[in-house]
Amino acid sequence: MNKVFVSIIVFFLTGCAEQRIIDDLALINAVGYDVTDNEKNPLKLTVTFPIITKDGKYDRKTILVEGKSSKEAREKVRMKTNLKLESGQMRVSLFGQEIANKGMLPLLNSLVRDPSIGTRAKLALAEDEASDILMLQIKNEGQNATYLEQFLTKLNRESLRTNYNIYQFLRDYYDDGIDPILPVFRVEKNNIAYNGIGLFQEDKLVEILKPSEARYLFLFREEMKQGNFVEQIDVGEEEKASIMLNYELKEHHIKIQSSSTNPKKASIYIKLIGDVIEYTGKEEISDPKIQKKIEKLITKKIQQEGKELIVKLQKLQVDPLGINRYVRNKMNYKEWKALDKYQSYQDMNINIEANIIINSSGKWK
Amino acid sequence: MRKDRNRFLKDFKLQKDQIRNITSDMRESKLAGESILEQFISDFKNSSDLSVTEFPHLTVKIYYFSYLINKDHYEQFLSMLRKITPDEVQPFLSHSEFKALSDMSDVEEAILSGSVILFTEKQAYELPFQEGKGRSIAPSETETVILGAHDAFVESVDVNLSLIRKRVMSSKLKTIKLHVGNKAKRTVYLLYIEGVASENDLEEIKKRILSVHNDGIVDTNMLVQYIDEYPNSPFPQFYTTERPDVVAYKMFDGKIVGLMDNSPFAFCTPVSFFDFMESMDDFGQRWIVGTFIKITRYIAILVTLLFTALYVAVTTYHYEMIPQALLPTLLESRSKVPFPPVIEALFLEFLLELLREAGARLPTKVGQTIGIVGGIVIGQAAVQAGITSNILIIVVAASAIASFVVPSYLLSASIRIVRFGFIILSGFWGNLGIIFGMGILIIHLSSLTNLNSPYLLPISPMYPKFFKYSLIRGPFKKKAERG
Repeated sequence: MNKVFVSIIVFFLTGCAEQRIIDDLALINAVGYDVTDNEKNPLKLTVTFPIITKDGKYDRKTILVEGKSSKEAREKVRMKTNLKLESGQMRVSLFGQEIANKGMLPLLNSLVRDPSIGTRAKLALAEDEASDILMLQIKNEGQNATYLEQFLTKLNRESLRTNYNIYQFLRDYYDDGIDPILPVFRVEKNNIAYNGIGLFQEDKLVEILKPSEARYLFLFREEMKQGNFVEQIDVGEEEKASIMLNYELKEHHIKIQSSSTNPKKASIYIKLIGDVIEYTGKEEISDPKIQKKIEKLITKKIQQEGKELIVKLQKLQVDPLGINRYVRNKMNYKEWKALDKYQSYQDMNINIEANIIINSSGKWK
Repeated sequence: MRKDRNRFLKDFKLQKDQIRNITSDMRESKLAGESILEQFISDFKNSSDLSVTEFPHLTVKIYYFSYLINKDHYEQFLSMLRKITPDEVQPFLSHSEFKALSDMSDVEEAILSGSVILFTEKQAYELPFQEGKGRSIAPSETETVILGAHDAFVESVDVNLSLIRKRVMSSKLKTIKLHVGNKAKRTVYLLYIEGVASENDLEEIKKRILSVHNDGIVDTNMLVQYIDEYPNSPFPQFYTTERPDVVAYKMFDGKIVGLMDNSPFAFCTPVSFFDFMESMDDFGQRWIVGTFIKITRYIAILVTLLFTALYVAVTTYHYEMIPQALLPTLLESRSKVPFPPVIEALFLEFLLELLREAGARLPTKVGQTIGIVGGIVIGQAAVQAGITSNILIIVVAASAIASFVVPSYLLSASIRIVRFGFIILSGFWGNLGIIFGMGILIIHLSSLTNLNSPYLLPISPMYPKFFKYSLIRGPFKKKAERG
């Protein structure tokens, strides 16, 4: 009897945990960060969360506030809703272009510090203002957060593997041999569309690559195991054909020729095996000879375009391919610490060695 | 019967001469016979259903309960008795079929079990003319199987013994007859296979049964509660079954089986938790299928125990755990409900228990109404009225279905009770409460014993070798394992 009494006492003395019944919560599913012109409140915070309307429909509510810091702004959001604000269901965190230029780390810091936010929350950039994207009301599309999350998941599955959540961004940020990237979205005719890749140096946004340029970037990042290659190639004199290749990245490695020479030399080897999905040229692509020729043309194209891209990256001093990781592997810690890595990266001589094999020409013939 | 009668008469002629010599010895028992009769009459006064037949010229009185005896046999006996002279009575009764009783308690037991009692001046005799009235053997309704024998025990212990004897055709099958109760004695048979069952266990269970002096134990399921070690535990400790094939199987497994008269249930001991998770169907199936079904049952137990509690915990405390795609439906269905999830869940679970109990008590013809009322009222109207959420109905229904997967009705009922504890715990502390509950449950289960054998036997204490016999349904060995 005594035991029962003690356990009842224990049971009631502890009291209940803090109740968070889901229908009383504002479950933030996306936040956006922007800068304002206001000097007092330099941060603009946009949060969006699902609500259930009076007639039982699933809808969303978006609140925009200005504040000194992200948590201070969040306190202001709290004053603007009848529901209890919770960030445990946050899926996407959007950063405006301007705030990303200043550096993402302070904002990420406050995201990571909150234990209710998982490290799998996805990050993305917004061209111009993040609030524009979150405020946009697309008809019959539902939650913008869900839309963005699905979009990002799709990008990862397809050939544009950014795969960037908080964990991966911070991993690449703290790795001194590689720089993070993030996908960019923008509002486009009452729709949210993917518009390239943002290149970071440390945590600061440097440049946004157009989608056409970004394609080659993913070809050289080893994360991408398969994808589509769509390009115009010069088949003859003054004759262009468009070709689409479903490829698989069979081999990918980056080699640093020697550690002592300055400027350093690096080579990126890739081997693609692909199936032709579309070819508009006049020749018969099922002919092995023509295939060999086209393989050569594609190789040339990749090398040429890839070189252009890499030169651009070097000029911007951003290293999303992680070439510095291989440089680091070639030297000891002292040497690496002494190295001005961005300068040496800029001076580096990087060439591309691509090997393209056409596996089949599809079902036609 | 005529043949028997001739035999009796022949015996009686042979013994005729001897009788005259022993009349002097009978003087003492003459007094005994009369004193028993007096005591008998005083014990059974006010029993208007007691019938008596007197043969004054033979100084014989016959007492019986007319509805307990076989009338044909009795009539034949009477016709024989009418033909003999007073001198021939004693030799006639010394035939081995008629047992001389010297104790009032024996007389009482005999007449109540359906024998005819014949009093002479010297002795009381039991004439075994019991009538085997009762239900005929029918398939079990509580433990149905698809692959396996369909007969089940009935109320008559003789029939039950015969069902077991037919399955264990060996002289090694031993039976011990015991009595429980004080005023109204009930017979309990302990059955075991000599050399397979443990002698210590046998002594222990015998001791326990003999120490029960309570009256009014009318069924095996009651009896086992008088002899188990942890009467305050919600979990059943003795395995009771209606199926003779289960009993035979358990006996070959070294278990001791108890049968009680007028109860269609047998108990088996020592058993563990995993015996309650077994059905004869598992053995009829291929071992892979059998194992799969067994694993399904373990999952079902977890679902019954935890599913509703998990719903409560997640919707009250851990909204982070909800998948994005489920959030809209969950929010929509919860938005109309005015109660917190604990109250909502307890309400629906309680309603379901009411439905289940009503279904068990109502006659089958009315029982269908319960299904319709339950299905429509709870399924549709409760949601439309905004008392419960759609998702909770699915959760509660799933855990109810899972509770019916547990083959033992006793265990299934215990688990349903424990489930309420989990729901309350999760309402107080969320997932932490569920983990607390699991901890307490596992501690409790592993501290239980049945006849000094641990309740979670192959797991705690750990004997991985026995997993294939109890945890899963391992393949049969083609070699004989026991001599």
